[in-house]
Amino acid sequence: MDVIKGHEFCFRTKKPPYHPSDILKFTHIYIFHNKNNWKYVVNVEEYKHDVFIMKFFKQNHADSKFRYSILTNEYDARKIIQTCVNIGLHVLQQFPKASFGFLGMPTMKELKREDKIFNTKRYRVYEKYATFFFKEENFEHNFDINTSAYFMLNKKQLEDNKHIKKTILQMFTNHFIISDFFRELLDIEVN
Amino acid sequence: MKTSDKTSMFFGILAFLGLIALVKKRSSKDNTNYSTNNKNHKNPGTINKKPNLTPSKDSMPMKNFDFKVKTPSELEKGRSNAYPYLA
Repeated sequence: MDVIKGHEFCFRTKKPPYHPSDILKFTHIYIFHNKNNWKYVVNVEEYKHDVFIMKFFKQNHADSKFRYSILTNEYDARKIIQTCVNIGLHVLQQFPKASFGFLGMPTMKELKREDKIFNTKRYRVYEKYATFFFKEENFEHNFDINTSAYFMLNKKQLEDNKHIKKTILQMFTNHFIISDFFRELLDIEVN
Repeated sequence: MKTSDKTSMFFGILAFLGLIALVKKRSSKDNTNYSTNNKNHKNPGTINKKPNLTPSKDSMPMKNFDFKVKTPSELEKGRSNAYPYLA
């Protein structure tokens, strides 16, 4: 089967965190342009234990609180997500023991729901890409439908340390808590 | 004074008043006032409070991440469902 090609991307820079952090080491910044020549920014956050969290947004939404929630209606989602997958695979070449995670942020419509972050539209789509491109031979797939979170643990890490999964999940639970991450969105009433 | 001068003066004053009205309208839209010494236009005399950034208990999901491992059959099913998205 021929898979859609993503857009061409380029690595921009690698930044240390703005605030001192115990777990966040660097943010790798990639950029690409979509079919309408709009610029997209992909932030790949490098955490301890070779855990990478990918975030992307359209550059002109960079200052918005809803930058991860807005739908652009440009009908270019497949190529954009494919580009992000390609960036993930590029990171995997550099860090063969990398594990990946993402959150499917709620759309503006979903923010109006009572259960804003349960099984979001983005989560359902990203999950398909994750299961397709990151094979079970190399990754252990973990999911949490209640928070629309997905985590792929590299099995090379599991071979080295059997307790790594517990350590990483503990790290997430302690530092990367939902209340912090969704703080801005959960209290906002969208009109 | 010439008639043209009067006309330009009239339009000048009109534009100035319009500008003031526009500025007032815009400032009244954003009634979130985070400083404590400014006047609150809606409730004069009251001191504005800073917004509480901590989410309330009702709005915040109490449970944190609770990951489950995907079984091989679930992965296979997910992979086959992914084809229409990727072709």
